[in-house]
Amino acid sequence: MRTPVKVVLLTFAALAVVYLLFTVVFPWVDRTFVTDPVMGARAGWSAFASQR
Amino acid sequence: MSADTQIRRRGGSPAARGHPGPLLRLARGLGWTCIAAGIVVLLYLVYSLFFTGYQTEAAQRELLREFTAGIGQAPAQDPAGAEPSVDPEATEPPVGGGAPADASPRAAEPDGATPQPAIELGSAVAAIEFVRPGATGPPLVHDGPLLVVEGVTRQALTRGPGHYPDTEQPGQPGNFAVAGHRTTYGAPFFHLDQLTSGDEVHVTDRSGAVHVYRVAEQRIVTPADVEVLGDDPRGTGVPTLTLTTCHPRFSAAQRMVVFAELVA
Repeated sequence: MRTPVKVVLLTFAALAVVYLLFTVVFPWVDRTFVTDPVMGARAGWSAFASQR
Repeated sequence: MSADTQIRRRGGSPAARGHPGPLLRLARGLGWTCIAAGIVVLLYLVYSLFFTGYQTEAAQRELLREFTAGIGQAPAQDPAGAEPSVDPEATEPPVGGGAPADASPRAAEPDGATPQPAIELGSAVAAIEFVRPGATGPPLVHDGPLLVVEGVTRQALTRGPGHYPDTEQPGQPGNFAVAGHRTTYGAPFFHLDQLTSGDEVHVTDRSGAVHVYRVAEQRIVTPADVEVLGDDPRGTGVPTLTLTTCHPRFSAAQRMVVFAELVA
């Protein structure tokens, strides 16, 4: 594959990964493990912690 | 170059031949994995410390404009027969001890009173400010007013502290309960632990009336202790403001709850 095409594809892939991280993965990590101000156990660590 | 020299150069270790051995390949793979993990952690820090805060700050500015413009006016009514706008998050399972996450119109009041109009999810229902009477110095809990939005869905809480839809409106008999992030999304309740008995929370409702609540108690509870959202969580019979946030900071294991009672 020609180098410029490869660079464009790799940049596109990296941006897609960052987009997914910011819109899907990080929000899920946040609400599951880091911050959840709402009363009522949700799935994840808080639910586990409340059962201990 | 003699044939003997060529034969000797083809021998030796794999690395010397230009092909890394399995151990070297493993070490190289581990190295790249560590670099990738480090980049993800850095991105998470950027997300957590800046990105979410930027989102919330922009939303609070917009809410403040809307709230200030709408003060004193009757809450917007949906056109007859029109479908109320629906937040996609409203379909998520309810949280907060069974409290529905949506802000659908309430059923007619049992005593025949006029039902309150629905408040759209994510729109401002009140502005709260924290005041320590007689004190000067750095702002208490948060610098400036915090706009409280309707609903405690994930989406609603990205805009600011959220009002639990099944609890009362500010100044009403019963419990006006609000949840706010302690970290990320502007961290509106990062310093909620600063509140002590006697501090005041000034709540401005959509009509512009200011209700003064005085802090009475602070508790650390588990997420399942949803009785703090009840009509009279302290059993005093006084209209209550309940603020909830996560505890300790950067953990969702427990909740910090602050109760304040209506005094004016």
